[in-house]
Amino acid sequence: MSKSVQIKNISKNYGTYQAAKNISFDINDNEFFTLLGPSGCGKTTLLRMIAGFETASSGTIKLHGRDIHQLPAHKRRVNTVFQNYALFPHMTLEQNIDFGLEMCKWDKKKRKERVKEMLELVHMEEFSKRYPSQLSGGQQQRIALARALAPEPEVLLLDEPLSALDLKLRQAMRDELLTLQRKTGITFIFVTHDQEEALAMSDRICVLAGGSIQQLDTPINIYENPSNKFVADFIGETNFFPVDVIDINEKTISIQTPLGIDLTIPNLAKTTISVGNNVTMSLRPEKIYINKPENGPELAGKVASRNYMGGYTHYSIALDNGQSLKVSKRNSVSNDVSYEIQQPVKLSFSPESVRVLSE
Amino acid sequence: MKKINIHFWGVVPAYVIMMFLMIIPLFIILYVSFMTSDPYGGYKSIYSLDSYIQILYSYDWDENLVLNFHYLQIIGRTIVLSFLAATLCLIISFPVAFYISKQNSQVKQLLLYLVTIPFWVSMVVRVYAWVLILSDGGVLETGLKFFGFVNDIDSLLYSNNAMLVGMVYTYIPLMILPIYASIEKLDKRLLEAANDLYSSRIMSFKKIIFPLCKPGIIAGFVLVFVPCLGAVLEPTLLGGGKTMMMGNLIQNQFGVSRNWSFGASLTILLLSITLLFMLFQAYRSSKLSHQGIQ
Repeated sequence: MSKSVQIKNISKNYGTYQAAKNISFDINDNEFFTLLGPSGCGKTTLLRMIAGFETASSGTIKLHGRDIHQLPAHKRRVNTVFQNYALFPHMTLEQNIDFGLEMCKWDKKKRKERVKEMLELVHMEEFSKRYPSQLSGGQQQRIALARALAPEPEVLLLDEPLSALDLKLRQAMRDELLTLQRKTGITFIFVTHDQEEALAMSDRICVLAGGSIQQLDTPINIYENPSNKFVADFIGETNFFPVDVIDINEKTISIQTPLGIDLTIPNLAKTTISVGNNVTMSLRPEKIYINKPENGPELAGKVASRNYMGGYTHYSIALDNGQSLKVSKRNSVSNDVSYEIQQPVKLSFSPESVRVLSE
Repeated sequence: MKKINIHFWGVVPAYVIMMFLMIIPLFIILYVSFMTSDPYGGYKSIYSLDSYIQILYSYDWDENLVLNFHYLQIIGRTIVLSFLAATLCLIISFPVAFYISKQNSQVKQLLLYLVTIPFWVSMVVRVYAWVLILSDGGVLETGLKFFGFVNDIDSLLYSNNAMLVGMVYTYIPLMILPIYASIEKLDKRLLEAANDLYSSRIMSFKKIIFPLCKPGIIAGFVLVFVPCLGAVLEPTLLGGGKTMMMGNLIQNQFGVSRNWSFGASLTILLLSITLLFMLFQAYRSSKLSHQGIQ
């Protein structure tokens, strides 16, 4: 598969502060690639370096094999959808979309056709003569997309484009973005701090923290097999316990847990865990069953708190041995059993669901 | 007890001031302009259009009306010089305002303070300073000769150029400040967006910065152009009475020339020119605000 963007040993320093530390990764052609991380993790800096608004302190950036990291932004075949859209307020929507085409010196007739095509693509044909101030947030978002896609960029950069929209609209725009990406076949590099957004849309996710890559993988692997404690904590909810490694071989790891039981779990991590190490175990709340005998260890406790979320109910269970566990249960039947506070319950889970993580 | 209507009574002082200092004097001027002037000063209350006719015509030896371009020339010069002054101010102010907006907030404050500092000094003194700079054997001539740029130069003072320099100097802060305000308001991310869409710096200036700063430019233009139309000090001190503008022409009519009616009619004419210009600018800025630019 050919690579659209290749990032090699990129570092960025602001004085003594390192926003990016020796980052390398490749992005495939036609990929929906997400940079995910908390604010200040370096994801926006990375995006701005690809766009050309910042220059890396060291390293190279290649676009389809061509080194671009010395090129100014207006000479890179890369367009950006900005967080606040940055539509030109004094131009009509048509003129906004046409701007990039005009700057690229497209033929007049071709420009007109392309603008029309773009307006159709984002379903905004009837608004062509309006000004951005006359649009809602979602509509501005669509025009920003159309404007960035119009000059046929090799890569489209999206800087938290959905963060200014309300929840319902955000979900609708997610689907639209995905459809658009499949339709145009352009590589999308998407920056977000919203893990749900990242999981729902991406082909691959690059989790960043403190200026370095924590994990680069598919959404499923990021969630199910996090490579370290940070990733497990940042993506979704989980229960952490410090554990001791008793035994380790090719296929399994045996651990002693503070839950009062020893577990033998599959060895997936290929990490440098060895016997005697203090590591952390992670168990996702939705992988724990309440009062359902399962092939696996059983734990006794009482319901400490309950949060009804509609589709799910989140419980906090105080175990008899003093530990506490977060459990979430899907409300698959309307009149399903609901557990009361202080009600004794038996928890069970499959050891297959347990992961051990280094710091 | 009846409640005092603050919305009405609160603005009454403003109306009173406007009435006595603006509206009534204006009507007096209008009235005087249609009366006959008294050669001994003041005017006689006899209706006559003479003062308006005098703008275009004069009487020859045989008491016939002949076209006289003398005053038209002064009016024309006033408009052209004011326009030139405002344009020069604009050309100088844009880079200055842009430079100020690029500084950090402390330097910004200092620079803005420096821009406004001339206002702290009396205008007469400031214009007089230019007399000293431009006069024969003045600072500029001595300096140019000292560095060997010129051997001998014609008098710089008492010319259209001297008046222009004086007006540009006097009114330039009124151009810098509104342009600075509109550059400050400009969303810098728009420039990034333009840059991202293959626009060079020059194109970004032409297509984004300039159009979005138009309200500031229009405001600055009005603020410089209008006082230039009525300038008195610059033509008197720097034009030396040789090359007149409407400001000192009007002043003369109420002073040495003792032709109050003519002075009043010139005032009404100047006021009309100013109003027409401002109406035009108001129309332009309302068109801009329709496009969402404030």
